[in-house]
Amino acid sequence: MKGQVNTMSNQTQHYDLDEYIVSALFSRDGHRVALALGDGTVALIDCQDLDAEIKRVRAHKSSCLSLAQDGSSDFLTGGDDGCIKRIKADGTVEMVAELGRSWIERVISHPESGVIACGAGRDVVIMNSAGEEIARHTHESTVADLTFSPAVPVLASAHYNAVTLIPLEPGSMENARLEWSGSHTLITWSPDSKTIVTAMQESALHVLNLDQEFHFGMQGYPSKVTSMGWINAPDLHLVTSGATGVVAWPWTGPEGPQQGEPKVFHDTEEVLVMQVACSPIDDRIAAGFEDGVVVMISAEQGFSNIIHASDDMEITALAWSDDGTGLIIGDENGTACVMLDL
Amino acid sequence: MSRTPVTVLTGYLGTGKTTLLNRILTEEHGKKYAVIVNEFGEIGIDNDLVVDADEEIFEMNNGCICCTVRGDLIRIIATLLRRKRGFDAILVETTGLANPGPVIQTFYMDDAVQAKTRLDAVVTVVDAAHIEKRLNDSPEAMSQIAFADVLLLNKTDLVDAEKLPALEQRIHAINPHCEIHRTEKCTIDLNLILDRRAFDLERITVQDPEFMQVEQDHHHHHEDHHHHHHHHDADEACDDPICNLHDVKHDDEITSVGMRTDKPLQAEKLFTWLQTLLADKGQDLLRTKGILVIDGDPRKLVVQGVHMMLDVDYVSEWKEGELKESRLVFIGREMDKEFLHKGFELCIA
Repeated sequence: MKGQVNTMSNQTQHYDLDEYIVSALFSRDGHRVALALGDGTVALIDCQDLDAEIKRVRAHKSSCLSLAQDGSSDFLTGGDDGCIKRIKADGTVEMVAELGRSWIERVISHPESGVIACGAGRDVVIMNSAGEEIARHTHESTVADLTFSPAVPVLASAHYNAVTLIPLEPGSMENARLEWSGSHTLITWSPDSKTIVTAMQESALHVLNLDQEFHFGMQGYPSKVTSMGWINAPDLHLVTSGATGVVAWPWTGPEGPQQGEPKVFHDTEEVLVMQVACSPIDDRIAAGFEDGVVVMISAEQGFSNIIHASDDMEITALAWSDDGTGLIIGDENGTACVMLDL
Repeated sequence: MSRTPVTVLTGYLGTGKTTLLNRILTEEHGKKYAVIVNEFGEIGIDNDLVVDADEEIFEMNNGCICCTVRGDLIRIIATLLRRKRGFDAILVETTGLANPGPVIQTFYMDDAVQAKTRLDAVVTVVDAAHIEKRLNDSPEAMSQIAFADVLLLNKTDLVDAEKLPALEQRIHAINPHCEIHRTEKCTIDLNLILDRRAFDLERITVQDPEFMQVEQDHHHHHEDHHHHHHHHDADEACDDPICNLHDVKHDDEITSVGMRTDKPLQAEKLFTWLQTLLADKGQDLLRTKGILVIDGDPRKLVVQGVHMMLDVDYVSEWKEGELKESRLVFIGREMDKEFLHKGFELCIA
């Protein structure tokens, strides 16, 4: 469908970082963007002065594997050196935890309590903000992804054959293992906290309804789902990659997506969507494709506009600022683009 | 972007696999390898490009019991490929006791891995002194031979040279396609094991297992062992190495069945037959290779498969003077030769 989404950015800046962009995020206060790179360094962009020289600091020995917001202005990174580092707003790098030979493929920091959780091989390690271990939960297989509940101090880990719910405060509840065979590779918790959705190794989603304790699978994706998000305008939808267009599953009513077909936005019929990022404030979805194109979609009107095109390089990172006015784009070749005042 | 080549190195415990790994890592051969190992302590080199894997075999949730992948490899390879510099190729070592099937299937079944890498070859190291025993007591050792593109018959200095042809024949009966190299201490020109493009449809060759048998028999003046029945008591020793190799038959024995015809095949019938066959017997069929003449098409149709997955494509045209015949070989367990031949013949146009 043709039309116009409000994609006018008053400030756009491109950067050539010359390394694979593993992940990119705005700080919670929106003042900085951090880009975790394949060579173990982190690039910091000052959003108040996009033309200023970017700060590049070494966080890990050879590769950054994960990135998270921390506090209002800092970031956490996990690396293949088994370390978690804190990247302060001024570019200072602090050691938070050293966890041996394990790769830290996922690290997250709780927005209210500052509690840090990471996947270190088969272990979920929960730490206070200083990196002191509070609890460790060993799974029978490697932890693939982690997410916090939006409502209670609980986290969910995705791994082979199950999702495990783990309390952030030790002893406050027993771990709950929600079994479903297969390898769960990504996890997201719905904003209404009623549902957990995982992406599976075999190009499908799995839905765990926590309220009514039922499970179901959603199949039909041509490729593995690599990115998921939630949009709450006009009403709640789960947005995913994994197809040649952006897939949005309606998530209203007790049956969730079982009641209707998904909407598909900006279907190229050829090129796969690799990254999706949903605006935290309105109906806009940014989506990055395998060929370097990024589009902005209005979920309400179904319109889409191309807002960025890398040179046939897969989009590997895409994120909104918490206030929904900024967007960061990163690709496999190290080209980054910051858009502000969107 | 060109896909990064991946070599899979397999071999039973104590075959000399680690020696070979160390040689690939230290010798000058123009390529830098990132190495995914199972036991980090085993190799003497500690650098950023040596990654410790935690063998995790994941069943796919698609109703197919032979569809298994190595979850750890998917993650490790995705991560390694984010480094823009530092290596040209990847080497994956499997544990000695592993069936290499899931490793190979990983390169077919994961979208990201498939998009960025290409399987180059499966290299299997075999201990000449112990292979007879292994073939009798270890189904894994047999599957390592079945999946091999290149096979190092190592420690040949520890066995009678006379025994080697029989060992090679036994290996070729399991897998007629593998190139066998006799080695001592894994001493071999690394060009013979690296960058082989063994999974490249353009380069696939198909060896008729029976033809190889006859050829070997001819060269080494043995009788035809398929019809070799001399009996002796169980505890009576027999000096004939062939006898020792063949007397013990197991249900999980891996063999190969080859078929050929000079009559062209009908594409549709062939695809339907192969599809049904692999769906039904994919678990027992380890590898499939074929170069086929299709009625009405001047090009060669090449098929190459691992369990249920089959790569099929037309490649170059048949050349003038080239022996234009279809050859198809299955390597697997519990092979019903007659059933396979019948199915194949029904595909003739």
